[in-house]
Amino acid sequence: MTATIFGLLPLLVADEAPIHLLLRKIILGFNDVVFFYVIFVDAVYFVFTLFALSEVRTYLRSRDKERLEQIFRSRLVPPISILCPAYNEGATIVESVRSLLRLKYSKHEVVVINDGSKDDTLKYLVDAFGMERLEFTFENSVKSKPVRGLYASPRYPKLIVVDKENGGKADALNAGINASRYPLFCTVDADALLEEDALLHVVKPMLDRTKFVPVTGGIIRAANGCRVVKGRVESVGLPRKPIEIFQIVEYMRAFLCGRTAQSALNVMLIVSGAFGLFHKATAKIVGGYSTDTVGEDKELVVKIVRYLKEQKREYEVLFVPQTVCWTEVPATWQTLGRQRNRWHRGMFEVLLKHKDIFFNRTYGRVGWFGMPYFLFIEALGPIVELSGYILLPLAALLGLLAPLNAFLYTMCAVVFGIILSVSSVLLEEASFHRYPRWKELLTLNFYAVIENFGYRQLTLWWRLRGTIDWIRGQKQWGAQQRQGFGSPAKAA
Amino acid sequence: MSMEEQENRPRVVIADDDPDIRRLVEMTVTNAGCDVTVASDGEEALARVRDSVPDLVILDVLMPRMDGWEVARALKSDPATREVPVMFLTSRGQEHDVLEGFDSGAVDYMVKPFSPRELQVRVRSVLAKRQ
Amino acid sequence: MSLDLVALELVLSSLGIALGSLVSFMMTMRMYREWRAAVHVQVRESMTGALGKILDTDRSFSMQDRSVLVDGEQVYVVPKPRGPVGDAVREFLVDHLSFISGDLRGRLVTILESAGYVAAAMRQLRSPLGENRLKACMILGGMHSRIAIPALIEIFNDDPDAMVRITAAEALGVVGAEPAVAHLLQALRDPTRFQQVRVAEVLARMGMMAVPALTAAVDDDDVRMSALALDILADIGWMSDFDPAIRALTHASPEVRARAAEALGRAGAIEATEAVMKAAADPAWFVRVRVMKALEALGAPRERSQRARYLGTLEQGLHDGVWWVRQHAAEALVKVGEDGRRLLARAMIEAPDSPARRASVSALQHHLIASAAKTAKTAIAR
Repeated sequence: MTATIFGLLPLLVADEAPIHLLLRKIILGFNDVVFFYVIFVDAVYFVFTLFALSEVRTYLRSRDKERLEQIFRSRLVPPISILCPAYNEGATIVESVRSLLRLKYSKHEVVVINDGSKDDTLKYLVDAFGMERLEFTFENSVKSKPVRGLYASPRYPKLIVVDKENGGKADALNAGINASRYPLFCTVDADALLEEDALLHVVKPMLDRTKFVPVTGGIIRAANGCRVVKGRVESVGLPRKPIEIFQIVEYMRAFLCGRTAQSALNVMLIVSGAFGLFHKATAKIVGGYSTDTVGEDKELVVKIVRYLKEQKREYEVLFVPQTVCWTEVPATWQTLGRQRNRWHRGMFEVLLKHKDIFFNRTYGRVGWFGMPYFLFIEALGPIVELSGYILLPLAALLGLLAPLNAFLYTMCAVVFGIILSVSSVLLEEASFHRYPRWKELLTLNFYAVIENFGYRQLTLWWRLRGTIDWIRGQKQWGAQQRQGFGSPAKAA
Repeated sequence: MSMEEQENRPRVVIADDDPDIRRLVEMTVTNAGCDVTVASDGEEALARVRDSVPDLVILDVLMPRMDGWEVARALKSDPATREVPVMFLTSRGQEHDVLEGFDSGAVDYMVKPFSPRELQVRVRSVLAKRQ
Repeated sequence: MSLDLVALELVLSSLGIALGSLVSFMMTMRMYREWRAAVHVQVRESMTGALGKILDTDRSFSMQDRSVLVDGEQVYVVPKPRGPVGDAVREFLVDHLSFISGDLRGRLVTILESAGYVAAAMRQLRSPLGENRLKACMILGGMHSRIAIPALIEIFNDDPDAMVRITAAEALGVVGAEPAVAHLLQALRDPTRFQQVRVAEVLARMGMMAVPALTAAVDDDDVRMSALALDILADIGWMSDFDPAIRALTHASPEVRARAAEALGRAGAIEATEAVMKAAADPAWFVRVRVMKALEALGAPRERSQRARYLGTLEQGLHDGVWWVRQHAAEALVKVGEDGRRLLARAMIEAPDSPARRASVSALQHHLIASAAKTAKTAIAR
């Protein structure tokens, strides 16, 4: 005989003591919540995927129509300052800077900020580019630690190096904002590789819309497994380690689907730290990057959006569904765990710092959809989902749930997850198809399937740890063990 | 063509990352009576030049790995290749960059879109000056 | 209502089917794409061979329908403008047209016209879908065929879609039709910057053909229009008449004034040097920057009293409150020659800790002529 609590889950009623009944009700009720939460989240992501599909198609059609390169040779296009904070980069900084100087854009400058490196980073730069110390004066419009010197080279007029006391990435970026001279700036990590035409693509939305566009971002991909020569990705390939391939599929989901859709709905709040293009005047008004948070990149966007809403100015934060940046993703479980932990902590910090946006009418869509979305789905999500993974088998074990039903419920959720992952691979194949070999396509699909059987759960666990750590109030970065491009692994 | 004439054909190295332009320039310069070696980026161009010093180098400006200016500078700083004339193929918007960067040692430049016939004429004149 | 086993299995199987179809769809897409790529490669190979044959402009060239005749003999038959093969042929030719000019360009255009590619694109101009018309306009622009001019003009005048009209104007500009200039200037009034940039680029590429109309547009009432016209003229580097720009140096809007200075500098309008010098006292800093840059481009006058005024203006610029103005004034002085560098050296020595000194130092450093400064220093000390 079956009876259900919310009319949905069958349970075998037997003669039990009242407290046992109560316990059963609680556990099963919670299972219901979790189950529907998971389905809801997956459905939201699925809707995102559909949005992303249409956005990407529109984008591709418009991109092919315009010979962007020729257009952007025009002098009428706004010049861009590239800010590149560097800390203990060693000799690899020279090649990164060279590739930044070679970008296809009519007018740009590269501002390297040496954040008080303890190694020879500055020396490598000065030697390689023949730089000299300059007399400088520039306003400190945003706060940063003292600048020790400014270096330029007559042979490379597009390059300046700012040498300053150590203050962290946000602080270094602020110094860069002060030293830069163009109305737009973008931030690039020293180990990130930009595509040659990256600037062309990310600046276009700023020109293309009638509304003000203070921030744009682009797709970031994993460079692991690609052949990198002289700071440029020459050929794309898949890495060997499963951990790296998992991340590639994840990035496809997050960037191609997630960000694109959020951008279409104009609720995009997160521009990843590896790359973002900003309108400098607006960034200055909100005080540049905040040095008191781990998620400084996310926070800047939130600050800008807040400011514009408060000023009642129309704006759009846009994401260009075009690959602009390649970065090396962590290759060990430890480093990856630390990175995700840090990202998650950063998110909570930002959410807490700006908690007055929540459901505040001044902030429009950001207030009633954007921020709550990040809180309930991205931030708190792991707690709910993980508890589901624990309680569902528990319920089955206690005989509260027919094991077969429990199993089938789980399978539904899992298969839905697989569909999502596979759709993002499909979206990639339909749009940019950067992986030319059949073997790679099949591998990607394979990993899209199996990522739902352990990897996703693992990321949830790391995010949960991030939540706990944030509650405990930690504020450090973990050291990221990095492998240089084309050089043996070196510990940071 | 006799063996002597073959050996006396001027040698030209061409570098451009666009395969269409590369092929066209190769065909044009070959028709002008030269032996052509092609390279698809700056590094390769430098390597080809060092393999056997040519009579002329034609460089695109924006190339991956090493752009045209870097190659020209590298050629000028090496005594073995200092005397080799360098021609730039540049896009319309970059003309004044090339003019400013003439201290990287170019003898001539052509702007895209270019006329293959004109390229032939210029190549012939540069080679004639060499002799 | 309860989800029993049967329902669950149903849901699961439909999800499974959905998954299966996604994957097969993906594979099919990949196969189709590879097939198209193979077709493209084949076409490029054969077209390159054909290109080699018509490259020699000493030998005669003519077309008979789709046959390419060199010195009267058929050397190649161009595929029909249909399907993936036709697309590949067209792409090949249009790509080449983007960097080829002169006789060879004429030949490639003739191929496109004679083999029916231009006609095929023109037929697309009558498509009910705006997107197809837009694509057709772009293709016609890329094909550089003058046959299409009347049809493009018609589209520019009558098409209901604004994007299509602008693209038609651009195509006309690219083809080099002089009537397009007026249309393109109209299109410059578009609200989005990106369209303005596109159109401006086309006008700049038209070069001399567009200069008279642009020069006239400098006097336009719309400030943005004046500014854009000046920008494009600066890009082209010439003006048919310097007076409108000289008048613009005293325009109400600083944006226009700045661009006027830049355009005059780039055009090498030496007779405007006096007017540009007067503009050095402009209240807006970015105007002063452009003035300094223009003065650098125009160079120092030969006539003594003018030259003295020129140097004086630059020296004033060295003491400007804004770093950029000082830097460019210093750069200009370096370019002047001996007397310019002497002024810089003097500023360096006599004003021990002022912005002018810093500007001089950095300019001299930049040009690695610190040693020249030393000799000037000794010269002044004497």
